[in-house]
Amino acid sequence: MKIFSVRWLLVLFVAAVFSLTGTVFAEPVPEIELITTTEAYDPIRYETAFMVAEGWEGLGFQVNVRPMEFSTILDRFYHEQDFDATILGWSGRVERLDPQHFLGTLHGDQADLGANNPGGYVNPDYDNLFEAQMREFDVDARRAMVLEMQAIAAKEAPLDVLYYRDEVNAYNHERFSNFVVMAGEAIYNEWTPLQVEPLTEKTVLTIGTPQEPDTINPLASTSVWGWKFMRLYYDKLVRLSPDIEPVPWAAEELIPVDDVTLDVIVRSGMLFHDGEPVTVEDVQFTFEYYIEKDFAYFRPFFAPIESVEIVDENTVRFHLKEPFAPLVTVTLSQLPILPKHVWADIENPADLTPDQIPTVGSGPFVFDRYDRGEYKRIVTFEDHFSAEDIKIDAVEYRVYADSEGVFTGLITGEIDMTAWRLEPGQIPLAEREEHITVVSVPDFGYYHLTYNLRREPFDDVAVRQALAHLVDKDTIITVLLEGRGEPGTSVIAPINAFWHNPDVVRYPYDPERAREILEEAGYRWDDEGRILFPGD
Amino acid sequence: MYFVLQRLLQAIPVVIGITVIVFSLMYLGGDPVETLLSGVGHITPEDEARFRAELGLDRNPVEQYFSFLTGLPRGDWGFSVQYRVPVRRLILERLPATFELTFAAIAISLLIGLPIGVVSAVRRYSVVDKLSTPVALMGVSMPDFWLGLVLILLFSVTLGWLPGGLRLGFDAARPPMITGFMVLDAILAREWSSMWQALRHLLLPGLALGAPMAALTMRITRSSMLEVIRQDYIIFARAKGLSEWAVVMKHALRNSLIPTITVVALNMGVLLGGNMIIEQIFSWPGLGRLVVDSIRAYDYPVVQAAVLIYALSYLVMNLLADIMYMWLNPRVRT
Repeated sequence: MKIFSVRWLLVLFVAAVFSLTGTVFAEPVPEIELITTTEAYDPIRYETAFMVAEGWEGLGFQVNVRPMEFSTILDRFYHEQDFDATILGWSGRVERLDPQHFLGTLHGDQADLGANNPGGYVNPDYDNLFEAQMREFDVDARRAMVLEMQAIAAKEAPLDVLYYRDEVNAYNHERFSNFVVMAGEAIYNEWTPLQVEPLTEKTVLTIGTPQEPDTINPLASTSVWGWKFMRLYYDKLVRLSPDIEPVPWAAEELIPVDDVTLDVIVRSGMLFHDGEPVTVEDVQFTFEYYIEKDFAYFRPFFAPIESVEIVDENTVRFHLKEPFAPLVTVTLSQLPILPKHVWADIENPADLTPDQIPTVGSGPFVFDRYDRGEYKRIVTFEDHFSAEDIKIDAVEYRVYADSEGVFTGLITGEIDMTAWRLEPGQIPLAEREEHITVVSVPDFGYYHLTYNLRREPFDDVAVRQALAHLVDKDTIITVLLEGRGEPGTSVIAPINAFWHNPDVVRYPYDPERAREILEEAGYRWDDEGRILFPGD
Repeated sequence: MYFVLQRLLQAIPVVIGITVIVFSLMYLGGDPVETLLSGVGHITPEDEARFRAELGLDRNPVEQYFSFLTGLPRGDWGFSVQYRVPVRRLILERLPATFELTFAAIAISLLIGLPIGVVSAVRRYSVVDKLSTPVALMGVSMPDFWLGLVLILLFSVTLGWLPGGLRLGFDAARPPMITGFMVLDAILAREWSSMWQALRHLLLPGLALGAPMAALTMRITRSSMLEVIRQDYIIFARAKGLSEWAVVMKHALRNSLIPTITVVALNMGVLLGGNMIIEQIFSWPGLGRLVVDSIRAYDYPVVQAAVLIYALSYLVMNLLADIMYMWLNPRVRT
């Protein structure tokens, strides 16, 4: 016994000496802290973290899953960049259909504290392409660059895009048909009211929602609940088609003059709901007003605009400070046209009380009524150029306390469609109902696992590639999302087909391949199976 | 008179205590600005400072408390962070719906509780009396949210007889908002079908909220009725040869109502404060739902004001019950 322990001491001593000199014994890879949301906040992300950890541990990584409050995660991730690996998501909002925002999350210039690239990925090739695509007006040329950027990012795996989660809505198909399905927004989009067809005497489309607008002031609202309502009674120069292509709307034609100049021919004969004509002065006023009042929510959209000039009675010219490709897809498709004669005298639009907020637009529907907390209604505008195609008389919104109330309203026929994602438990119940159709639409936002590239072992591309091979995304989709989602490949989701690159390098679940990659990079395992950094 | 004055004076420290607690509410979850901004994304320190100053949170807490306190009687109840509207306005918008539901609940509870209570007392040990005790026990012990869910499941989802939420269906014309009471507004607009609809919408939430009170009313009416019936003047009335109906309705019931009224008044305070869950379940656009929404959105000025209103309404109802009891029963007037 005694001899044994002396011998062991000797072994330990030798081991210690060698490991200090670092010649024979390599250092073990430190434990990885994997941050995720609490189960209450998002059970899917919570469970995903444990599945990821299990996969990584299979190859000798030590993983400590740390569920945290959402605001704490945001602090640690964005503001302090104090993390090893974090699971988070980006929601798919219409203006993010343009690749600018999501590609920017890997841009080297955004790697500072608080910015959108907390992982700290920096690649000069990627950054050069990012700046070039932003200034490229030729969409095909821009597309080529966007695809290449995705290929670069996929190869270097600075993050693992885990999955795209479907948006699930439902509607009553006994009352209406011809619902328009749109990426990210499912059926609660700006085209559905324009195209649904009543099947009964009921010509008012009733929408059930669990939320109401923060405000219906177009110079104060910062939520989708405000804008998804307002965009029906305001017009925009461009609307994004159900296939997410920009179609001229209040604009008749868009004529690029050069890289920093765009002419917009405004459709003639349009009227505001108070009977006044829509003119180029109104268009010019709108943009100047937003710029002058510096409405922060839209700031990234109008920031590149130098000035808006009236060329003739039908044409306005946008002068840009520098080329800005998302001008049409984002700026012109998001800012509503405001009537100059209503807004011009309002000095502090953000301070308007609810009674003072103007609701005069020129859109296909006219604002009719809003009882806060309870009810909203818009009615079809007979003088709108799209009025002939609209087959309903009005849209009414009934505000429920939560998604459970909306669901009951749908089942009992009190509403015709839902305006928010059904809970997983409600989906099979809704599918059982004879009068209900469930619509499942892929999202263009994504959930990701981002590594801190400033820390070991994530600074090594081989480790990141191997880790990606150890995540079983198909199981996440089938088990956790019950099939309502798709495994992630790129920050631009497949549903955003024009910009998505389907041919990037993929990392299918393959522990053997992961082991090979690590072995080739010189990693080894100790007797207990723990992974060690490459030694000499 | 002395008694009323005494009760009023006693209420003052309670009110001050309530305002202190309500004011401290926002500090319970840590720094309110941090809490409010946590979901917003990237905030610069300058933004945070501006926001803090806007809310008056850059001053010291005592100063803040006094400006909060002096603002209350002037109608300055703060500004909703979520809706960007004065809190007073938000609350005044929601109060009618809550009052409407409370009145419905009380009406339903009286309609059920009083007759059964009277019959159980007059026909003691009859079938009605024997059934009323277990039913009342059930009524009192059933949690209102559970009852609400069961009512929705049974009468809306399964049978489809009654609406399971909101104040009006899509098939009824919406009257212009005048009083905020849907039934009253419909009457003012002479929209009789809307009025009928509004009443139908009141039925299930009113029942869910009123059931426990109905049971209580029933028990109290019964026992007080039993006591009154034994009194000499009832025997005398009977001896006079009055009809049983006249004896019960004119002589017995009126006197036995004293404790019932006290209970109703007290419960009104409870109902006003206890409507949060029912309003949530039935998507009722009242104060309770506003509070739940505001808690979720960290909209603490709204929560503060609502809690204050709940506390004060309970206090006022309590006071009223005391005064009424004293007025109805001269024996406590000492």
